[in-house]
Amino acid sequence: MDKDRAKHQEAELLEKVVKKDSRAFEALYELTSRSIFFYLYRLLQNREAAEDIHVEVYTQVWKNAGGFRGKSRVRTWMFGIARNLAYNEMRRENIRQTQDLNETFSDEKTQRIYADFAQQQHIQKAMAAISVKHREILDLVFYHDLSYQEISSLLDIPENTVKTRVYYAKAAIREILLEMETGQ
Amino acid sequence: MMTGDINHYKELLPEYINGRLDAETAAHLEKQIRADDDLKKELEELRLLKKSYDGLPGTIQGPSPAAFSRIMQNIEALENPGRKGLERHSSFWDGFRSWIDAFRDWAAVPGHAWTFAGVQMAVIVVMAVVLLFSPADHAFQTLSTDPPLPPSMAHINVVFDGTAMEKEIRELLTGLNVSIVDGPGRTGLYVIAVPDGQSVDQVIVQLKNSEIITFVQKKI
Repeated sequence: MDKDRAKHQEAELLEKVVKKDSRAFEALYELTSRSIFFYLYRLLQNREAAEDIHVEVYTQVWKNAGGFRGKSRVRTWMFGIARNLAYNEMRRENIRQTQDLNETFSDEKTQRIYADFAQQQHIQKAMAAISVKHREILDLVFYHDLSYQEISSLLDIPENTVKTRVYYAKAAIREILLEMETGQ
Repeated sequence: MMTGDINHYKELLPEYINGRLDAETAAHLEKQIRADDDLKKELEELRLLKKSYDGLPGTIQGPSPAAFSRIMQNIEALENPGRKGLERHSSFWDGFRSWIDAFRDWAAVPGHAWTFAGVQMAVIVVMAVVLLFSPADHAFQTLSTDPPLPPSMAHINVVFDGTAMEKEIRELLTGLNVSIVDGPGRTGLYVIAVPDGQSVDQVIVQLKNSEIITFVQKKI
């Protein structure tokens, strides 16, 4: 389904959910649940916790559907609910990760890790090792296909910060690939 | 090219890959990419990064079929707090909750909290003494063993395809008159119970024929 059609369909379904239409709610769930669950799972890195929050997200969607102002795509609004609940959970569990990044690479190093880049499994392994913040931004850009503007509104940060965060997230991936290559 | 310019172009690359740049900006960026090896490399790496997501959703199982039921239960409770069908269930939990609240109020008094801590300590000491002096020849069951399943029913291990929709899973299981009794495990493994009088082999064949199942095996 193309993005515009999905966007339109999600908006129509949410309008019906506001009127407490449970069939529309089920259809919205079918349309969005995998994406929302994937987002939560990648943030929390724990299936059970992700599923608990997932249940909570859709309960909130039902409860607060009337609060959707149409300023963003429905799915982006749902990501926002998911994000708030997931970060609360992470704060509780204190599993938020932080990492210092070294984003300078020589051309020679770049050349060497370049070959490894072709191995997508390595990339996903590296992905699991970067910070939650960096994994989240890459997921939003490359998997959920959100625009910088949408991400800016979702994460409540300026668009320029979105751009630099993507840049540093990719640099972090490179760094880890390099470490994997040198066996550090 | 100035470093500032390069960084500006690099920042545009993800939006370029996702086809979000207007034609004019995209054309200008393409011109810069052709002229600069560093930008070319950056673009190639970002493309590979995006490509690495292609097979990823299949490796992560979606929410379990039970998730939607849990959501609907929450919604039911929100919409019908005093509904007859939920009353028995609710009244128990309401009672339990009010008991907890009463206890919390009682424990909020400092003297009571110390009394409660003393009782807890005494219980721990008694349990430690019992464990220390009890015979050691009990058959312990570790937490890693499977939970007990109804012995009269046959069980089947299954893994659903990562792309399977919750609705499809529900339809398949309802059609076969079987139900999930355990799972998902870390690898996405579910245990399905087959009611007495129903042919397990036939259910297995039907599960194997389903496009949303990737693994089926009778649980021994």
